[in-house]
Amino acid sequence: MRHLRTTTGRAVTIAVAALSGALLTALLLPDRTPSDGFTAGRPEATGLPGEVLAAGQAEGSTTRQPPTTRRPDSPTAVPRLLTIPRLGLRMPVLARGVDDRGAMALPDSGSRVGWYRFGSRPLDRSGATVLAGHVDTRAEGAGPLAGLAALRVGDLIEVRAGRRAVTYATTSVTRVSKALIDLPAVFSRVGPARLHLVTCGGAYLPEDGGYQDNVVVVAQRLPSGS
Amino acid sequence: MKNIIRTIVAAAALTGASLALAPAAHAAQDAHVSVLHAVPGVTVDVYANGNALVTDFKPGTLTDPMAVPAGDYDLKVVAAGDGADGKALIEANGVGVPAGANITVVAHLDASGKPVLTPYVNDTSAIAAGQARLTVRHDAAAPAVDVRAGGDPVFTDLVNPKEDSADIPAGTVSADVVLAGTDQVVIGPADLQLAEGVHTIVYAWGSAADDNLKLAVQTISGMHSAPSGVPGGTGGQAAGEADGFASSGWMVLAGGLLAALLAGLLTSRMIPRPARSRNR
Repeated sequence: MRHLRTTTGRAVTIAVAALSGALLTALLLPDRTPSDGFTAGRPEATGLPGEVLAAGQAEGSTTRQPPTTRRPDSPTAVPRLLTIPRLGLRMPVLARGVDDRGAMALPDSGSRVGWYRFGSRPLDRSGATVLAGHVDTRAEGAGPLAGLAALRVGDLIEVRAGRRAVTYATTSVTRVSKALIDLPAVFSRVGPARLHLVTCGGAYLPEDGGYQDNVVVVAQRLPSGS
Repeated sequence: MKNIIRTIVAAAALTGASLALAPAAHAAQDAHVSVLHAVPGVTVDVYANGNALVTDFKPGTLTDPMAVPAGDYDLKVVAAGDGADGKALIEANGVGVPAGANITVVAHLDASGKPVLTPYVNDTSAIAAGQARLTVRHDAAAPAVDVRAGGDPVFTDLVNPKEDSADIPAGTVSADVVLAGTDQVVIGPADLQLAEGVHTIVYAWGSAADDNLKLAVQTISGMHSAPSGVPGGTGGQAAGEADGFASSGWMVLAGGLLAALLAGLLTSRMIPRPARSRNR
């Protein structure tokens, strides 16, 4: 392996570039099926096009499960703690939705990370659990997520959900322009159970919306007990 | 591109003619039809073009969506067991079912108490992140009503068989139905869980005169959208730090170009599908 590295460094660089390109392609292309299983492609739909349920006291209606529990593979435990041992990172997780501009709402503090509560949960059978937070804040300066770019493929990430510890292994760390990022892929609710950890990066242009890029960590969920 | 779509629709129509109501595969050109029985007091069978569509159908029940080829359908509702030639309790001929549409056909009472069939096209367009879509359909033998959520009117002066719809923040609302312009509650209150990215359709049905007004609820999921972005930094302090990407900027660029190239290739081969085709 050492021999390979020294004599074919150029080839390795190209391979890395190609891999990076493939991962970016996965990020940037709307919902197509990439080679690394980053998304499962269309359809995004749950396969439950119509259901009926009783509304409150409504009698005589066919009663099924209400919408919030309609996915039988959705254990309700929500993420509450994010740890990345190699970075010494440990952040409480807060449930967040969307802000008044339709973007994902994030905790004000850079020492907290938000979980997109309309998306998948760590113990769901499928879909991306999305955790996102500020890389820095005006009040506090750089936060723990500033270290994300130093993550390497294979690094373990742990998310506590309820009483369970769910472990993920990093599969890619990508910086991508906010103008090009494929948000439906980042927030996908289908495909393999995985973690998407998102923050900001790149150039900071205060007059142009601040950070120009997002940093996206993709990590695959490992079987429980590993 | 329009020609391609037309050709496909035409082919679908031809296929549809020969397939009639055979259980169809989930072809893109199929429509999805659910049937709601909202006539109190009678168990029925429903026929479409002479073929049994739903049998032993009890009031207050909604079928799962059925994939059917686009086309015109003659619908007939008879008392359970009376057969295709039985006396029609309700009949509607030439009901158009457009390709790809998501439709709910409701057997219900009109404002005067006479049984009728009303087909509604369900809106399966994308719903903004964080939002839920609420539709209310007045299918009851009752006068004009207002629908309130948390005591505030959401839809006003709704008359049979009209519907009204709005996208509102996801969550649980306490809904009730009052006589239009009054505080006189005729149905509810009932807690409605309006899930994000889901279309919740509420049917008010029954008869005010017979004091059996009820709600039936249908949900159609899978129309959720991603948030518009992740605004992950407010200070700029981290921008100065070595972020490990400094030397890989060209890779980002290369990846973007590759993606653009691939997107171009794929797009040129793709046949656009209507947004509602996402709801499968």
